[in-house]
Amino acid sequence: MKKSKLTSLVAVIMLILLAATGCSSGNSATPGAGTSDTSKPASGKLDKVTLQLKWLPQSQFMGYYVAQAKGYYKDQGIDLEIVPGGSDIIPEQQVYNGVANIGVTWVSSLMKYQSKGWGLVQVGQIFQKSAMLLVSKAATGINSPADLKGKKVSSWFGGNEYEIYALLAANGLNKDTDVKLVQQDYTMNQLLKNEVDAASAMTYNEYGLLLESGLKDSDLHVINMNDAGVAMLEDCLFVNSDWIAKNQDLYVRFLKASIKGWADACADPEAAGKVVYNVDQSVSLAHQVYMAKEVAKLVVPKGFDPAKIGYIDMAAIKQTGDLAYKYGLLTKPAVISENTVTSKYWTEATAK
Amino acid sequence: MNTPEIQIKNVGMVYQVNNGEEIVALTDINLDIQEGEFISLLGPSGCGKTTLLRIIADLLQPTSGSVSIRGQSPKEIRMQHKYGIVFQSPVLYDWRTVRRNVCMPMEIMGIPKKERTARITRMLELVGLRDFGNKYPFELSGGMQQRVGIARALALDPEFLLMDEPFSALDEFTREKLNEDLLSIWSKTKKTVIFVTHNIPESVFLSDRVVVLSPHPGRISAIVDIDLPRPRQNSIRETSEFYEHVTKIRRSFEGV
Amino acid sequence: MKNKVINLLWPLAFGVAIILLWQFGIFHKLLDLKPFQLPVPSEIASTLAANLPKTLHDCGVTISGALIGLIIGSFMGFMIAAMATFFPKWGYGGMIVVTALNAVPIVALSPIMNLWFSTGMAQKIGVVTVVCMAAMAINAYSGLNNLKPHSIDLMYSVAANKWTIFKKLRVPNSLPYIFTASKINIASSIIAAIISEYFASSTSGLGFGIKDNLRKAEMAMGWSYIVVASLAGVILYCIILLVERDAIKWHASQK
Repeated sequence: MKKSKLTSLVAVIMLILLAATGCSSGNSATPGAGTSDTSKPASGKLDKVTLQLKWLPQSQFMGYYVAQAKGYYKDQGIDLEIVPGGSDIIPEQQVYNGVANIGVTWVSSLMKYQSKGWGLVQVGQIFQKSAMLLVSKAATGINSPADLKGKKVSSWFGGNEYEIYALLAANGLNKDTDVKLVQQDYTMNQLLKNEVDAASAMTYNEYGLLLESGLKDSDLHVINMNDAGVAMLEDCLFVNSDWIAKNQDLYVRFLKASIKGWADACADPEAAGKVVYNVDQSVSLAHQVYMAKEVAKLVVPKGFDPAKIGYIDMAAIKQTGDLAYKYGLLTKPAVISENTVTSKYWTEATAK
Repeated sequence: MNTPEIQIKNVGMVYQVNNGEEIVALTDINLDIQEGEFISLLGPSGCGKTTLLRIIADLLQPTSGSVSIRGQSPKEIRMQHKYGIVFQSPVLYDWRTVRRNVCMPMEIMGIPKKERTARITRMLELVGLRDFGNKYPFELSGGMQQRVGIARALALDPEFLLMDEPFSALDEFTREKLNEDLLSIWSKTKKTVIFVTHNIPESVFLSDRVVVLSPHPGRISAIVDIDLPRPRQNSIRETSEFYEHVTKIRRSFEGV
Repeated sequence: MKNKVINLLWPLAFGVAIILLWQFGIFHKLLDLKPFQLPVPSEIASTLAANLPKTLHDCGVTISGALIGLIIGSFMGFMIAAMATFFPKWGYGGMIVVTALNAVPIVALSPIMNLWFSTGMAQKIGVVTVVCMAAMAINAYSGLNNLKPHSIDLMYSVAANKWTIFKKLRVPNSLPYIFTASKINIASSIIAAIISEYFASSTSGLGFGIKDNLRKAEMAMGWSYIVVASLAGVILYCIILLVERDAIKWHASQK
């Protein structure tokens, strides 16, 4: 009997630890600890840099993979390690803890961490537009945001729900009473099986999954956050404030190589998709190429000068911060200053 | 002499071992037991004494021969609850108090509650556990537990009592005390008792007849009448007659 | 009595010491953590107080799912053990399957249940049921079959049938084992419920609260959920202990 008590005690402790791992998914590895702040690319000896992605290796991050494949980082004297993300990997925590030097995350999520006191600073903006959609089957009859009333809507949550909150509020709907919000897994099965009426989808990923499952554009109704005026910025680059203070030049070199990689990738998404597929075959080549083409539209939207890849549009940043505050992600207005978001490295990296 | 209560005819028991070998546990057992008789099955381990008892109790089927109890088969006797059995260990159910342990066979037999209560009280009185009815087994000593086992066997008012080395796990003092008590209970109930033991003085002290079994293969090697006067007290163990009987039985083993 | 007080005082003092070390930043220094990474107890307490109704509601959702799954799973586990006892030949195969099921990690089970059930509650109950079923089946099978020598013989000697033996001997004999399984299952049902909520298509429950808040940098809120989850587990465990003490006071473990 004593043994069983012990077992249960251990189980309770495990429960606590299990929950606790949520706030420290990282391990004790601290790459880049010895990164030098020499201003010239050292001949022969490369500076090690670790990049933490927000999600699995896929064309969403094709610019880094293309730059890696083409040796752009090496040209800048950088030995880059790209660390994939996952559902329990939080880039902000990884970068703050020093598991990675540079991270990719969504701007609203970064703002949340900054508002809680985490010393992180945004140093680049890769996606110029929001890729977030709310997709429903045409038969459900959700033709406009107002039609969401009384419907079951799914989101990934964990900070990804605020564009939907904003959308609902902008259309006079109460998120708690007018719709039923549920958690969405990383497939589109809930929508396909009609378990939800509308599901979150990224233009470059989940929407493609729906098309690959046999649905046509005409079978689907889409609410685009950009059109609805509630777009929040997504994939950006950020670093630990202490780290950047000592590694400004290193970061500028990283950004130079990355911009070059993104430019190549957006110019030829087909090839970029193949590069990513060579790194990770967990999804099909066709899906990687589809994603690459969609991501290119976010990085270099129509009318956007490819030379400005990585540009931080302060107006869009402000809108993101305002929406995040207005709809409850932030408890106080976002502080937008040189300490939280800065274009100076981008300016340096793109200077002729 | 009356017709014997229990007739054992040509009983044999052969076990098949995994490798196809046969082990003869009992061979050619013939024994008549009279009503009201106290009989011991005595022998070293491996002589088949417990096997024989289990055959009488219908807990084992003999491979040859037959047992007849008042003209009925052991199975019929068992189905009619006509014997009580006491095992090496008390086999008390931990979750039942002493009273409810004694009650258990009667519940299964469907004896009315009032009758059960009366019998339990009587039986606990008989085995000297009047004040322990509401204790749980873990609160009793080994000797007391075995007394409960005897009370349980007697509670269903059986025609005969089967006892399989019931006192072998107890210390010598407790054993002798229980031997004496068992005789006193037996004299009050006059049940036929078949008592398995490997203890020579115990078998002499208790029995009318001692059936000596020897091993390989298990068979009856001697039947010794014990004509010590009854009622017997433990003081009888100090008499020369008692000693002679013990010696006689011991010698019968040495001859094997 | 004096011993009991001392036995209680030591763990209590230890717990208080831990909380004090935590509150005054010793852990933060040791582990090189900032308060926004690991909130201090006072902040957790005030956050919990401010969000008590929501937290308790989520706790209710998780615990009710855990308990329903625990009851269904324990019942099914016991039935499997009973079947294996009554029909040893093919029942034993069932036990092997259940033992194998016991080895399936909860994290793997949750997405499977998501495919089978469409609501968060059903998914949660499904996961908890499977987890609890295995422990109960294995323990109950031991309890129904680890009998004292001769206890079946005794039943047989009074011509008891299989059902009577089951009712009067096997079931009471299995009670301590059932309590052992229940104590294991109380903890694992809450863990299973929480983990299933990490994945479930629902936005209520402790698991969702822990995951969602820790991702959104609401560490104090996340820890509030962790505290409530631990308390709920401890309370339920104590309830089982009390019931056990009353139900099997005849057992060696209760002396």
